[in-house]
Amino acid sequence: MSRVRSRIEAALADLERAGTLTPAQRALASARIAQELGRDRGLDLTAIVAAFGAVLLAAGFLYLIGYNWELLSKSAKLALVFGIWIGLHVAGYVLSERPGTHPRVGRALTLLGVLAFGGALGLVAQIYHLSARYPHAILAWWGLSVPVVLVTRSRALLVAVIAIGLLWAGWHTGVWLEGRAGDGTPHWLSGFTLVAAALAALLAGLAGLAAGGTYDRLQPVLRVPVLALASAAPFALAFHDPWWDSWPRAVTVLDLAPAGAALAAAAGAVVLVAWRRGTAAARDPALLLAVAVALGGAVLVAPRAVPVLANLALFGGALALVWLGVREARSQLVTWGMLLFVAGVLARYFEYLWDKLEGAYAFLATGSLLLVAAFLFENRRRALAARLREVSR
Amino acid sequence: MSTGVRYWAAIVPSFLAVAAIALQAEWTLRAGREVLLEVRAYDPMDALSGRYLAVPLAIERLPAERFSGPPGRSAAGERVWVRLEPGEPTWSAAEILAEPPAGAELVALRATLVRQDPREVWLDYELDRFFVPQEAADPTLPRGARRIVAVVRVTRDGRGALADLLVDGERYAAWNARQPR
Repeated sequence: MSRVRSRIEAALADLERAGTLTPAQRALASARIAQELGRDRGLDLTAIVAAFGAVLLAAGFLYLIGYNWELLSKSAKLALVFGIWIGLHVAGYVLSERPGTHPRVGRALTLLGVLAFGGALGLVAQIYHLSARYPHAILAWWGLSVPVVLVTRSRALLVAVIAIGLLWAGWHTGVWLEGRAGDGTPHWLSGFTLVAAALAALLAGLAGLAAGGTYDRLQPVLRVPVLALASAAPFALAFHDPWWDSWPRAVTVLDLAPAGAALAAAAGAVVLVAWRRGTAAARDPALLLAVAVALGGAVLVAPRAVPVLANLALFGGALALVWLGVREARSQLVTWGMLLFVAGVLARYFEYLWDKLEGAYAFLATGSLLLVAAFLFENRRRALAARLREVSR
Repeated sequence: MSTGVRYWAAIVPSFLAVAAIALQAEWTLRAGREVLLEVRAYDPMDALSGRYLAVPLAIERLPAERFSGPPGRSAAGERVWVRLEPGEPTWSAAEILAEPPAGAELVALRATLVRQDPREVWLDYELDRFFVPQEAADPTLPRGARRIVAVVRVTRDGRGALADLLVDGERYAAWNARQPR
């Protein structure tokens, strides 16, 4: 019996002893929970195996892009591209929807069909020698795959679509900055990390919108990248040197245009969440948005204050995550908060003290610091995890 | 709306998008006028795209005085048209225009302004990749040993498509077939 199941059984026994449940009700609840947990495990295993198969097939399909099919004519290549791609979707539909005899394998084939869309774009580009400065093809791949996620409500498809979306956002921002930023480190740092911060707020907003509604099962996946994306800006902007060195020109609004667009989208999501689900549900995305806007404002108006503000956001955010994790019994928030705190301390250590130490002393001091940090981290984490277990009981 | 209709309504636009890209490229190749343009080719590595020769056109960098509009007026990212003039062995860029030229007999290739300074204008024609078979011979080596020219088809509205490469005047496929393995 799994740990979760044992704890549920113990809780049911407590309820029976307290007279809240009759023995018959307890047995019924126990059987139903066992059935649900068993079904979940079966679903996960099948879905994971099928998804792995789909990803491997997709990798093989994409690998074909590396080779020209010189023996085939242009029309034969196109027929092959469209034939395989349409075949995948038809098989995915038949197996998952109508008649739907193998829904998990069917969903995996639909996932493969969505990945094959990217492969098809690449192959058509190869056949016609197409190239583009901006990754509009990736944008099309992402944008036209979103409706498939909405119709199927598949988490695996959502993972793929989020990955494609992040790829596009990063690529597009890179091309934009390449044309504008030159060698300006602050331009690159703020350009990329503020987009990440805005996307964190956007995804948190979308998760808030999905919660409790038709797309409720998608919200855990939407939340997965939020903390990593949100941490990038406070961490990367907290270094002192890029903001105090002299550069040919300051960061302008136009440099941050991709971040501005992402912030506008995030603001829209926050307003929608507040309107549809109430202001409490909009708390997390609104906070993330506020931090991103504050950092962006500092980059434009008071660049020398950026490291101070970013350090405040970094350490304040880390402590807030630990506090929130303990309060809401969410251990992953505690872990992330502590990791962020340790990463911040180490970054400041290397930034300010490294130059003042020499050779072996630097290695000795760094090694000792890492060991002490790991020791403290482990102790603190263990204590917090115990407290969380107590709170959740 | 039934499940099937919703499912296919979500899927079909992606097929249409790829089909539209292919059809547009095919139409440009069939309807466009053929021009020969000098390239500065090299063979880069890109694991995601398959093997290709980078073939940036020589007219990607032009003297700023060929810009017919007021200097500094156009911003990076704006669309421009480069009017081409026939020459031997390749065509050349006569002027950069902010609008497509009116005359039906004129050939102008559409480009995006990347950046400009008082002396030069950098342009992007999105015609800089020529995909080749994985085991194909590399005509760019040794450096500068062969004259490589792009065969580009240009439609009336300035859209361009890379149709072929000429290696010392010979079609790439024919040249490649003659190379020892």
